[in-house]
Amino acid sequence: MRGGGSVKSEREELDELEKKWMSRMTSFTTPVPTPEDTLDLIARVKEQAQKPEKQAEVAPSDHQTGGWMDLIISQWSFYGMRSWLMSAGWMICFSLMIGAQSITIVPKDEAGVFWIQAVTLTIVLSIAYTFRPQNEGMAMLERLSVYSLAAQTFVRLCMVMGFQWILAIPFSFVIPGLDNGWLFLWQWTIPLFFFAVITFVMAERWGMGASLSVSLMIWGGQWFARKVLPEVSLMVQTEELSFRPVQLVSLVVAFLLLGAWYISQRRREI
Amino acid sequence: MKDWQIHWEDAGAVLTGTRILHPFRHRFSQGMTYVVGNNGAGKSTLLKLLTGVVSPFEGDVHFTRRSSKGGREEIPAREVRRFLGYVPQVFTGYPQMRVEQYLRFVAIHHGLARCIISEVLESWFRHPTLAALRKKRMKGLSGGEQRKVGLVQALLHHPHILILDEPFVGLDIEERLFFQAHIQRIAHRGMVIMSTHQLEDISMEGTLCILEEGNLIHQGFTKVKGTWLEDFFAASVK
Repeated sequence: MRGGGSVKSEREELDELEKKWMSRMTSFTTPVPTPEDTLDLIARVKEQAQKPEKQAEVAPSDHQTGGWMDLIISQWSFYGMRSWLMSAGWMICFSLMIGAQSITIVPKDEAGVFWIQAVTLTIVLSIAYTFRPQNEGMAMLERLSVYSLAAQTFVRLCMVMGFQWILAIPFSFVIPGLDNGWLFLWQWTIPLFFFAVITFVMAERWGMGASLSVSLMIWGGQWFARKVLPEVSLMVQTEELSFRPVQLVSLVVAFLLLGAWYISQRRREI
Repeated sequence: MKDWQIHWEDAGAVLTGTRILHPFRHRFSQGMTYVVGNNGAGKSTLLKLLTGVVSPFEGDVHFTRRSSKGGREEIPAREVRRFLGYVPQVFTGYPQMRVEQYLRFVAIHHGLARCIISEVLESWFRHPTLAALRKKRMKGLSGGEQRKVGLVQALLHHPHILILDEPFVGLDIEERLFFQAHIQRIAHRGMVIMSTHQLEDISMEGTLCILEEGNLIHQGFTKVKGTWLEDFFAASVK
């Protein structure tokens, strides 16, 4: 920053700055208006000046500490009704398809695993869509919210995960051919939670491209692992010995990842 | 509004190894401040740091306001957010949302009470150019229309501090007048910091900061009655 000095040197500095900036400022050339355009514009500007549009004044007391209900409402609209309906439609489609095939072609046990594969794929894609990259401006605006970014993101994750879970429950009980029951509910809930969390945490850490690739690799790997290495597969039958330990480890890993993300996010915001 | 100030204490910015802003000291005060400079001068980075959500590479940016006891109190950046409006250089909104839905979303995130959101939105949608956008999806808006929504989202909660990154790009003269009137009202009572590279945007008396290659090379007062840059510096700060 320059300043001070004699009047002459300041004068010179101004001249120099003026020359420099004259050529740099964007020139603005207005189109030549017709007399009618000019009269019309004057009338509109006059009207606006005489009757200023008064916006509803918001006093600082009208601001409130954001409540959870408001945050949930806002995040519901963020995902968009069309997206909610599309994921519901997709779930109905594959559930009916698998249900129909399980009666005729696919063995009952296999049908359940097929269905879990489809549900977990749905959650991976839903999370990828929900947390798709935004431009920098929008990311800045999100951070200017009265809600912390951690709270916004967490609620968004819970809503998408919760919606898919609630939507899948009736199908897991009523689709013919599936091993309907509480144990089956447990069998698919843990993989759904696990895939949602790893897709989300990796997206937050390394970006959506990397997250989606790795999540789909793990998802695909599960399919092969259930035949070759069932000890590490989430898609095994409930009667397998490895079922409970694998489910438990997955649950713990998912909670640890989620906890670590939340703590690091809060620390960054503080 | 409680006489806000933003203290820029030798803050600098480095992005992927490239120096964007060199450290300098400045105090942004009540009223209008124009930030001008070439592309790449560091205007947008400066404004981002002024929002308080981006930390400087070095130095400090902090907010103070007059306390009830008469002195100045420092306000944490997190608390300032509810008093701050910001229009980024690139504003798109969320493509899947309709304009009204988006503004309702923003109002919640500005911390406005749910019971007054509809009233606030109605008052904005009374203006013909905004009424036409109400049911449109954000992804279907033109650049100028996006800019208008971007300005409304920043003004919605009548912020005390308004930070605008080239806000009038793509707006016609009538729309500029409409938004300038709102911005001026905020500048009279609070603080407005606006970057621009168009002289006709400088329509109010206030402070002018010129950035060049990440340095604050000059600061002074604008004098709207004058004709050219010399007048802007007629009362330059020494």
